[in-house]
Amino acid sequence: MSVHRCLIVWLLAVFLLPMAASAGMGPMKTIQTRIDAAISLLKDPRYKDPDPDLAEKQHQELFEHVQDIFDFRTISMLATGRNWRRFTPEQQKEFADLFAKLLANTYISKVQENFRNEQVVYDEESIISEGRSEVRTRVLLSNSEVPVIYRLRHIQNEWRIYDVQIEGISLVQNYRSQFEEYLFRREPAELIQQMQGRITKLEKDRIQRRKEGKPLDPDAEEDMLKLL
Amino acid sequence: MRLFRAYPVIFFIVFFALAVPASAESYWDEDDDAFFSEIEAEYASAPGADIADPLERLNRGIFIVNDRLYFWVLKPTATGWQKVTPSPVRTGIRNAFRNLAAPVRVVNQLLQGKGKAATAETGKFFVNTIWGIGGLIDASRQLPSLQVPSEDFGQTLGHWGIGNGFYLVLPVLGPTTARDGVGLVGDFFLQPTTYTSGDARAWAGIKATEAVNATSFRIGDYEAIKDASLDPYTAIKNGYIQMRMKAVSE
Repeated sequence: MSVHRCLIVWLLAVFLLPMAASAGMGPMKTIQTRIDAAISLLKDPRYKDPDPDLAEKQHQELFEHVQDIFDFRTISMLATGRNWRRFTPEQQKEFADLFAKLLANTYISKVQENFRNEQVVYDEESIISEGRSEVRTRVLLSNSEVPVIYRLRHIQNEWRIYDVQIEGISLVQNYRSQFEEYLFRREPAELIQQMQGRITKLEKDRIQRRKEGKPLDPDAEEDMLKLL
Repeated sequence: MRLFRAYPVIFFIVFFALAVPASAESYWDEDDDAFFSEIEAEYASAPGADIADPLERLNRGIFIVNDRLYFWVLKPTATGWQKVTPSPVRTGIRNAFRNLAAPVRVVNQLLQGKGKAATAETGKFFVNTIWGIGGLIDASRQLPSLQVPSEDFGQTLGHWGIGNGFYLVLPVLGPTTARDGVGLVGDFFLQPTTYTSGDARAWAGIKATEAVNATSFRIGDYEAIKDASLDPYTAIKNGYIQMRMKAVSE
């Protein structure tokens, strides 16, 4: 009996403690931990080599990381608003996954190519209502700073981001205006198809551009020369 | 017996261990309808979500012209400028233009009754002009008390309670609204660059330098917005309105 008990307690500790560590974290601590992890992934010396395959691998790793921080289902729900109910459950899931990919495809490669070891300042966290909170941060650029506000939802014992406000522009509100207009006359299936097409094109362009060694931003080229 | 007692515990462990790498559906639960109703109402009623766009067809046309202008003229010029000009020089030029526009901000701060901000802005102007070699260096950055939100005449009109009116896309200048368009005219007369030279060509040259230099810091931003959006016209319209709403409220 006691041996059994011991084993169970040990298993509990091993499996549940790492989760409890992230589950017990407040919204600001969660954001900070996750962003720090993303930054160390960006700075990882393994990826210093400007090899297109490596850059692609880093992209995928960052994407997986991002999926754990964001609540893409809530993001999709809010971005489509009252039209969300027109999606079948399968379409809802597909849409959430595609939306994640669309955002990741555009922004991850931009961050990969433009990251200059910028610092993030975590200012304060506040509660909006039960289970919802806001974390105010600032990204320090070389000669200006950009306020970034995250909105988080407490779900399954973890804080996940459902909206980001950069310089006062809410990501969700911005997509809402576009999806609202698109779905006014068209069906969710068409929107899903359109997004699928866009993502395929972006992925192809990205891989092609990396193969040709063309960075998005010529400044990145300059910095690479300096490193050499 | 013992096995049965342990069973729920094992089930518990397995369940949580599996739940950790959560995917979109596994963290979804029953409370969502309630959550959706609460938060959806909030987002639907967010101010500024909607702006009248009676000139949409014309606006979209000008939007396309501006888009072409960006890719064919502004971007190549700014890229070339970025290649031949070291970053500190470009930063210096940007700072100098910003410093020179101080009268616009000070007058608008005063018009909005923000005396403290106007004083700080004036102080910033003198610090940057004297210690920052005529504004080339943003020397005032070390003084947090001088950092106040920038104000323009569009914001002043907004502060006085005048709404956006309708959305407007101007050739070259880009997105604006009826109110902010009037604001642009007002600010034009407060810009020292308006009076620096007699003829229109010299003025256009100054403005072009300012625009090209400013763009050299932001190459790729517009492209990213376009790539990430379904309808860039709507995305930029909404972004502009949200940004201005925040600027007015500050």
